[in-house]
Amino acid sequence: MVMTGPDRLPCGADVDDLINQVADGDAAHRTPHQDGCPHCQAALAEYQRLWAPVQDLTEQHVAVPDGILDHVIRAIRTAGEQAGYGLLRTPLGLTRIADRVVAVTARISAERVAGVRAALAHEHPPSREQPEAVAGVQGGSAAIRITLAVTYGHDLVALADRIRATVAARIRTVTGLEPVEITIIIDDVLEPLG
Amino acid sequence: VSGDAAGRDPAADTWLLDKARGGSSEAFEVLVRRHRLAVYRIALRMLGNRADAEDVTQDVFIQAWTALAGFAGRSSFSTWLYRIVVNRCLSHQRRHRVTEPMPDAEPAATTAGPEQTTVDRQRADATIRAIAGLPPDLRAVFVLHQSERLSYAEVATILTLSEATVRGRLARARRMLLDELKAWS
Repeated sequence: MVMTGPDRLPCGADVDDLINQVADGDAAHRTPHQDGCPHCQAALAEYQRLWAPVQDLTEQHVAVPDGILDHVIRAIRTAGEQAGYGLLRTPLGLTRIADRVVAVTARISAERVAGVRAALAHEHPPSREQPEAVAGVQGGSAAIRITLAVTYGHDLVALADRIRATVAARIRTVTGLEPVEITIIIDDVLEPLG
Repeated sequence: VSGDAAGRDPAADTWLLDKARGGSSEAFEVLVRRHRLAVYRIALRMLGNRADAEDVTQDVFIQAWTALAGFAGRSSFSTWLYRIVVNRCLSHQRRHRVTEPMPDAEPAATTAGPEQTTVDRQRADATIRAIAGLPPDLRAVFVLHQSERLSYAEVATILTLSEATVRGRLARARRMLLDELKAWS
């Protein structure tokens, strides 16, 4: 690439300033000088035309390939994690649902409750002294433990009740298992987002 | 999940990071979910093609997972992560000696006719090529500010530069890009 063209327009305006103005999306916010200057107006219009594909690219939706997450998760998950399964009996056979599926369902539904900033349904690795089976499933029942960081200022008792109700409903809908106990641990409170 | 306009929540990231450093792979998994789009998008714009961006994104997260213990916490998680992705992209290109990026833009969402679609596609390809063809030091600044909409101060922290240098490099990148696009118009 070779940089071409003058640094200043005949009116004395700095070309880089005009390019920055266009690239920052401020072409319409003209200065009093630009309002009366044909050189600046022509340059702004030309740069806007040239810059349009960059703007389009910036606004273009980018979809992350699904495989990325799977690959990373496989690489970081510890080998010793044993899956338990919930069982649903149907006339045509058994459906087995891994406790991990229940845990992910619980986490995602908890994250969507207003006031929740981050949720984990599998906080401690299973090898610790006090293993926390986060989503233990037995037969058609599930017991879930969720650890949370929430926004400071919420009524925590009411928030926990809302999370419990939301998670229970979601577990029933998604997995068909019956949540018999949902333990909520408010681990931290965070400053509200600016 | 709550967050600012770009969906970022540094305080929640710090909480998750603390859990991840305590050994919770689930906490790290949540961090990956939260940041995968930004990391992939930076890699895509830096490298100009999806296959390389996918490889680099995977490597970045695995490298971050193995390096968690060494993360001093002096910067935010995203700053640390974005620094890794920029460095990975630059070393990826050095290793592969890519002289001509192979653009493969997302399918254009347009209702225009086939001819117009082809022209749009060519313009998009030319733009991707032009960005990926910027000199590395200018490209990193351009991608972080223009594509990720990070402030001068954030870009400066990620690339360990002064804000004045960021502004200077951004202006040069924009000028070069505009000259390149002029040749295509």
